[in-house]
Amino acid sequence: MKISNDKRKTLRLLIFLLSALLVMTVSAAVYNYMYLQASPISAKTAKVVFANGSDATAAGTSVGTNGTSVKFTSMSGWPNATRVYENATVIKNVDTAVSFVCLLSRDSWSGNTASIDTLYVRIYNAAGTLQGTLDVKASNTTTFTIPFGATWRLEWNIKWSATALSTDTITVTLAFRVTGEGTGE
Amino acid sequence: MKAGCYITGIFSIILLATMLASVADGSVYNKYYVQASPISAEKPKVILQQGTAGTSTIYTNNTSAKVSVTAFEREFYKKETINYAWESVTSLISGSRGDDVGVWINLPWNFSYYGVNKTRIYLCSNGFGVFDIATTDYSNTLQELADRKKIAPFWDDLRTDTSASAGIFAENKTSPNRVVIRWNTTRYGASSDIAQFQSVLFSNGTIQFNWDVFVNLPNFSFTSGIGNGLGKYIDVTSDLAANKSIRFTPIQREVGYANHVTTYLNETLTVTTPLSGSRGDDVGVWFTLPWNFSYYGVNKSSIYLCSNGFATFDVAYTGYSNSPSAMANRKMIAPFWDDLRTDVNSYDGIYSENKTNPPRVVFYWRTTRYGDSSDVANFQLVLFQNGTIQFNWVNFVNLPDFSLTSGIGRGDGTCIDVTSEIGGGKSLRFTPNNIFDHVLKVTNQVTDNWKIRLRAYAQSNIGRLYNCTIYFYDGGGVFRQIYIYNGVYSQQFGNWYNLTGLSTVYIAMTVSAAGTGNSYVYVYLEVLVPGTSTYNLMIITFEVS
Repeated sequence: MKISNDKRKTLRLLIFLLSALLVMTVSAAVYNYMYLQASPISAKTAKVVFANGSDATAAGTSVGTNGTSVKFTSMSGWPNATRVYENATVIKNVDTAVSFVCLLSRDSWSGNTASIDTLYVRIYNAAGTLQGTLDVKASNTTTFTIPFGATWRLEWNIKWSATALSTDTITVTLAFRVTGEGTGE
Repeated sequence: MKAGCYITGIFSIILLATMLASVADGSVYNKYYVQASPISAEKPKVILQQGTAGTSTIYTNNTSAKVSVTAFEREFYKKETINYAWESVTSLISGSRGDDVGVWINLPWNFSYYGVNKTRIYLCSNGFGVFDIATTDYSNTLQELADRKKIAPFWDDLRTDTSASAGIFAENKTSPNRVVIRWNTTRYGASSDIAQFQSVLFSNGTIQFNWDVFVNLPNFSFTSGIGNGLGKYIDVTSDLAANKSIRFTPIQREVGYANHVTTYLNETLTVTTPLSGSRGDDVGVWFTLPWNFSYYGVNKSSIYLCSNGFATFDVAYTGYSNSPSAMANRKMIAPFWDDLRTDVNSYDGIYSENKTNPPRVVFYWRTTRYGDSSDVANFQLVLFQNGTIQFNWVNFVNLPDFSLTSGIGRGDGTCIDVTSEIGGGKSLRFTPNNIFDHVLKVTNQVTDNWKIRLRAYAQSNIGRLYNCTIYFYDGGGVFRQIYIYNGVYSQQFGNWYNLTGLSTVYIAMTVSAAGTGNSYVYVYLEVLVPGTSTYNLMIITFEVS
């Protein structure tokens, strides 16, 4: 039986492909398993929480469930005058042993931001000493360490420009990062 | 080879430490969110407005201002030498004989001293009289004179008991009304050195010194003049001579009124019957005021109340045809001038009642429109003892049916027309400007109550300000906010002032400066929401040139 050269070449190619497929199959079948287990991932009481300050009513302060978020819905200001909400909300470190490093930064802002002259968020300790200032317009950050058991107040300082209109509004979202876990975690 | 191992080892340690540090510092954190939405710009509810003194610049939205004033002292008195006018006074004041002694005497009328009424004066053996606070100090300087409300014809270390004729004598005299006070003294430690002199207080506020006899005048070390107690004085020490009289005459000022809407008040009256003769159509009645009421700077003792909703001074008038020009040609106070009747309902008429705290008299008109008794107008006129006038528009029925004029007329062709302000449940006040000059007005445009105060937060070149006071004035009282004395703050912020709904308060200032130059005081007007720590800061710059 005589096989033509073309058929022979085709057969060789087929054998080569089958061999390659065999090699690939054998390679993929060799591996190692490693396991990462998180158990339990538990829900714990927040150690740093927001609460209403004495200006909560004026500022429209609404503290989220568990004190881990806060929203202000009725802050305003007069053009070319500075409006100060000295105690819109307080930040409490409810841990009994651990101080927390906190970082406050602007997450986003939108609306008539060009009509804002200055917008500061300031943190004061119970003695009234300034602990940090966030310049929202400049979008810097501020870091402070709140001792265990302390309650500090958060002040909003808003100045609309002289040309601001009574229809102007902005929305500001700040990110508040609390480093660490605290005791009992 | 060995060195290479060390380098590799150190690098490994640094790398490990860096990894550990990054894990410990930043690997575990919680992220919360704080959202403010919306933060809105709103129309200002408290605004600044221009005053009557200095130059005030009000910036956009009336939420900041600059005030430029020139340092000056209002001159209260003109000093002049008059013909020698020694008077006979023989009534010794009990308790006035001695060394460093003094005694209060009551004045027969209110005596205006530097614009403030005084009812009594403390007379001291050391040759002076002083208001408000008794003092018997013999050491005399111009500065001490300036710091006291003191009338000192001859202030020195004197005695009033070294002879039978020595003492302080005083008598009330008339034509013109005056109190004459005579000192018969000797110098402390030298009874042969004699000083006899008088001070005369006239009921119109004039002060006169009569210097009579001085023996060994060079031996004395005296001060003569008057002080206002606020750092200002008039020194006449060098004018002193025997047989000489000198007079301080109050400088009369042009008087006008500033009007502004104020907190609405419906005065409650206890009287239940209207004034006799006040019920009818086009009728009127004279009313005797409980005190002299200053109208455009002229005292009035009675007022004519007309059923047509106005009052006049000097002349009885009952006309119903009204216009601003007709008002301007009469000395007229017209809370609601129209063709009215005060006799339709049993309770109609004009009621009056004297009240205190503050002293004032309230007139209450209960009227209907002539020809249609269903159109009602009830309103009040309040005259305060300090010259302030207030309209309380209580309530109206069918107000558009009326054709009225409201305001005050001076009788010389000028008036203040406030007809456009009329509305039920509203009050409007006229404050005479002889009481104050104001540099700014603070107006509450809403019914909310606020607390306000001034706080100086920066300054420039204030060392030259030796007496600068910035204060609130509301027609009833003065509320000092900032005080600079001898170039330094004596008071940097004031007490909270209650700025009630729809009311106005004035910012006024007095200032004296040494030398030329410009001084700046940068001030926040703090506008606080009562019961909170939420407030607004409005910047006011005071420039003193």
